[in-house]
Amino acid sequence: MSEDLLFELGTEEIPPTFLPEVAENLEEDFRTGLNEERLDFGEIELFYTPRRLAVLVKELQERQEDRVEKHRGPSEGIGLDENGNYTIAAKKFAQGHGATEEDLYVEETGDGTYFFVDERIEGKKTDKLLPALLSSVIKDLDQPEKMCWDDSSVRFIRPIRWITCIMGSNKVDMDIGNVESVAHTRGHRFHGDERIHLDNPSRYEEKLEENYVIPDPACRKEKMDAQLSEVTSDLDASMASEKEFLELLSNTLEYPSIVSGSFPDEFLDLPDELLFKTLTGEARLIPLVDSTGEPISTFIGFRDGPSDETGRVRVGYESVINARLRDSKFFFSHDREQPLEEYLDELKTVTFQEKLGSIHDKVARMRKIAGRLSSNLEEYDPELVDRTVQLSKADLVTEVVDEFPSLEGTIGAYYAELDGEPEEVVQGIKQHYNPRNARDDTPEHPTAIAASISDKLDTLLGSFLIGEEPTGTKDPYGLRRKADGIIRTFIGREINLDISELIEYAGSLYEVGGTDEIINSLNNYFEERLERVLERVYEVPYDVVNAVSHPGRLNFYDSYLRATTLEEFKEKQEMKDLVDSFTRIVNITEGREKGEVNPEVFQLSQEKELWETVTGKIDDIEELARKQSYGKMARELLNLKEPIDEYFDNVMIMVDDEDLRRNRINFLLYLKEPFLKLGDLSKIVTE
Amino acid sequence: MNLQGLIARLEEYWREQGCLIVQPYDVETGAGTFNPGTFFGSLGPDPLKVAYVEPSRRPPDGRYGKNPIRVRQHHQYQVILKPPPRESQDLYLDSLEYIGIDLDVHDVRFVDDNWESPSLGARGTGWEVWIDGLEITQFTYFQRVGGLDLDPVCVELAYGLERIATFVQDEESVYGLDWDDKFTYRRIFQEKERQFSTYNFEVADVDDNQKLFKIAEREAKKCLEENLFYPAYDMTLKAAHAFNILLARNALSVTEREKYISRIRNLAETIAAQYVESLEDTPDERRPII
Repeated sequence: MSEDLLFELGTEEIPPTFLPEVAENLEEDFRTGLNEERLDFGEIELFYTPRRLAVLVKELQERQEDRVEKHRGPSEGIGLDENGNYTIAAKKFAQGHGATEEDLYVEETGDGTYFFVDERIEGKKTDKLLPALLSSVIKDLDQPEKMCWDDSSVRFIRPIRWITCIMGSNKVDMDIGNVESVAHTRGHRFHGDERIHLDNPSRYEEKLEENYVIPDPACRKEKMDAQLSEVTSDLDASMASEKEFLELLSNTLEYPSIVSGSFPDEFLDLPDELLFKTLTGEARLIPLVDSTGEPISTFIGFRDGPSDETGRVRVGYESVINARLRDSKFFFSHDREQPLEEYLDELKTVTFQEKLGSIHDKVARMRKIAGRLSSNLEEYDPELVDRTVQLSKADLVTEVVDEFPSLEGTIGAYYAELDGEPEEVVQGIKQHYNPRNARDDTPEHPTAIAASISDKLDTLLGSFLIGEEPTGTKDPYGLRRKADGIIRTFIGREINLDISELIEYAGSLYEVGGTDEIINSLNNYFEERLERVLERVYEVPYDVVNAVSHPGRLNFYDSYLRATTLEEFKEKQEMKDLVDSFTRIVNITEGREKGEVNPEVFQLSQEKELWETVTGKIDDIEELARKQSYGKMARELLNLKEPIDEYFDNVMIMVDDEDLRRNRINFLLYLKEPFLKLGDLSKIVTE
Repeated sequence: MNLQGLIARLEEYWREQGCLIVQPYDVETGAGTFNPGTFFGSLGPDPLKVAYVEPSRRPPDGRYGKNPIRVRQHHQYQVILKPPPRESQDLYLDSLEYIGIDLDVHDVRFVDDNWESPSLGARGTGWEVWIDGLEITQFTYFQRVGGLDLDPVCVELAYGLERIATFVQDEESVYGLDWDDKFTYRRIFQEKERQFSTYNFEVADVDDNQKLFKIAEREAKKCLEENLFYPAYDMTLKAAHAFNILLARNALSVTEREKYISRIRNLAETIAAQYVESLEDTPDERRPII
C-alpha cells in the first residue's frame, strides 16, 4: 500500500540566489533519507518559492517491509560449556535479539565458528518514521547561511513559520523548533487564503494556483517569459539583461504579473551599462533595447500578485526609478568634472592590502609586470599597454564605482573613451578584470591581456608573500580564480611563454622581496592549477594531464598543445602499443643515469636498425618539438613503433655481460628523450 | 496622513502591541540602532518590546537641502521585539495598514539584505522592505550585538519615516512633505540641511574633530575602568559622530577609516561585555532592561 506525501516548509523570504540550491539539497537529502529507511516511492516533485520549500512524494510506501537481520554472537567455545549446554553468554545473546536459545545456530566464519541468530524486525509505519526523518533533514540541511529567529535552538536559512505535512488524507504530526505541523497550507500573503485545506497532496499545485501562488519554479519562469514576450514583441524590443536575471526575479515572487512603465528620455544619455545597472541592480527592473540594440525608455517589472489593475504599482516603480536615475546621472556628471587621469593620485588613499600598500603602489608594480610581459610579445605595443595599466584602476575612486562596484573597469573605459584615449586603451581597461570566473571570457585585446595578467599575478604573489595563500578549504581573496584566469588567458590567447620568469621578476618588485621559497610555492601552485584547468575547463582526461605536466616547466600554452595532441592520438591502436613499449622503456631505465651509447657494442641487427632510424630522425623530431608541431611530432614518434617492437621482440636488455647491458640501457635512455618532449607517455592509461 | 500623524499612529500601534515607548536619544546617533533602547535592549536575557522615534544624523548623506530624497538627518521609527514573535512579519505589515497603506493594491516585498554595523560589532539577517520598489524599512533579525551572540535573538524594524511619508503623501520630495497640516518639511528642516551640510562638508575642522574623537574615546575608556558603561556609551556615540564628520570631510583614507571603526567597535564590545556581566549579578526586580 502506498500514499502520496506532501511536505511543505513555510518560511520568511529566502534570498533568490540561495533558493534553488537549498530546495534541491532538501529534495536530495529527503530522497536519501527515504532510501535509508528502506521506503519505496515513485517520483518526487520539488516546489519552491521565496516563502516555501515543498516536496510531493508520489506513492510512498505506507510501511517498511518486515525483514530479518542476522546477528553474530559468541564463538562456539564461549556459547557452550564443557557439557555442551548453552552458557549464560549465549542465552543473553539470544534474548538481546528477541529470541531464545532454541533459535541459535552455528556457522563457520573466516575467523572461527560462531553462534548466530536471525532477528525478525517488523517494518515501521511510514508516518511514524517521517517526523524524525524530516526534522533531521531540515536541521542538518546544507545551506549557505543559517540564522536564529526565536528562542528555539533551530537554525535555518530564514525563519520557519509553518509546516504542512500530510500523507494521503492524514496529517503527519511533527514539529521543528516551536512550529508544529498542520494539514493546511497558506496562499499568497496578500491575495490568497490564509488556510487552504488539502484533502489530497496531489492537488497541492492546483490549490495554490487558485490562491495566487505558483509553486513550480519552471512554471513561474514560463509565465514570466510569456508575459515578457507579449510586451516586447508589441514594442519590437528585447530584454537588455541576462537570462539569469529573469530567473533570479522568478525566485523573488510567488505569482509574477508584468508591469511596464517608462522613465524620462533624458536618462537614455547615460552610459548603457550605468543605465542598465541602475534598473537591474537597484530596483530589480528589466531594461529594454530596440531592434538596433539601443536602450529605450520603457522598462519591465514584475509585481508579486495579480495584475496591477489600478496602475498604482506602475506609478510607484516609475517614481522610484526616476529618483535612482537622477542619482546615477548626478554621480556620472560629478565624475566627469575631471578627466580619468586626474583620479590617479587619489588611488594613494585606497588600500590594496594593509601590508602591501595602496592601489597606487599596486598599479606601479602592474605597469612593470605588464611591461616585462609585453616586451616578450611582438604584437604588444608597450606604450598602449602601459597607458592601459596606468589608468586601469582609476575608476575605483569615482562616485559611480562607489555606488555600483560591479561597474569597475566598465565605467573607467567609458570615461577613458570620453577623454579621447586610444581605442586599445579603452578596450584594455574595460576587459582587464576578465575572466572574473570560470564561465567568463578571457580578455581579447593585447592591452587587456597584459593588464589582466599583471593585475592577477600581482595579487597572487602579494598574497603568497604575506602568507595568505589559498588552502584546500579557504580562499578568501579568490586567488584560485585568479590563477585559473591567468592560465586560461595564456592558453586562450596563445601566449607562448613560461610564466615562472615573470613570477621571479614580479617578486623583485616588492619592498620585502619575493624569497625563493615563496616564488617556488607560487610556481607549484600554478602547476597544480594547470592540471585542474586542463582537466575541468579543457576536459583533458586525467591521464593525459599527468603525461604533460612537467615539474619546472610552466608554459601553459605549450602544455595545452601537447595535451590536445596526446588526447587526439591516444585513441589510436598503434599509439596504445607505443605507450606500452614506452612504459617498458621507462620501467627498465628507472633510476639509471644517462651515459654514452656506443654503436660498436651493438650485437643484433634490430639494435642497429633502431639506432639508425632514431639517429636519422632525431633532429627532425627535435625541430618539430621546438616548433611545437606536436601533431607531426607524434606521427614521427609513431613511425618508431615498429622498429621499437622489433627491438623488444629480439633484444634482451638485462643480459649478464655488463658492457652490453649498460650500452643497451644507455640506448633506451637516449630513445626516451624525444618522447618526453611530447609527454610522459607511460602515464597514459591504455585500457 | 501628515508626518506627525503618521508617527502618532505608529506609536499608538506599537503601544497597543505592548511596547515600552522610549524617547529619541539626546546624543547624536547615526541610526535608531545606536539608541540605548536597541543597543542595550537587544542584549540581556529578559523579554522586551521597545519602540521609539530616532532622528538619525548621517553627515556624509547631506545634500545642502537640494536633493529631494537624500538628507543629512532623517527620522527612523524603531521597534525591537525580543524574542521575535512568530507573527513578526504580519505585525509589521499590519502596522503599514494601520497608517493607511492598502497592501492589496501595492507590491510589497521582502528583499534580502543582511545588515551589519562594524562599529557596533553587530550584524543580522534580514530584508529591506520595498513597497512598489521603494525601500521603506529594514527588517532584521539581530544575531550579534557588541561582539556578543544574542540569546535570545531579537527582531529590529527600522521604518524610514520620510520614505514612508513621501509614499503615503505621494510627494516627490521630502521638502514637500506635510508635517502637521500647517508646516511643510521644508520650513522645519531645509535651512538646517543647508547649514549643517556646509558645516559638515566645508567648515568642520579636521584636526579638532580628530581631537574630539580622541577625547571622547579617552573619556569612554576612563568610564569603563570604573565599570560605568552607560556614560561610556554616550562617549562612544560622541566619538562615532566625530568620526562621521571626518567621513563627510573626506579626511580619512580607507585604512584610517577601518582603524577608526575598529576603535569604536572596541569600545562598544567592552560596553556590551560589562553590561551583560552586570546583569548576571543583579536581582530580577532591579535588572536594567535597556
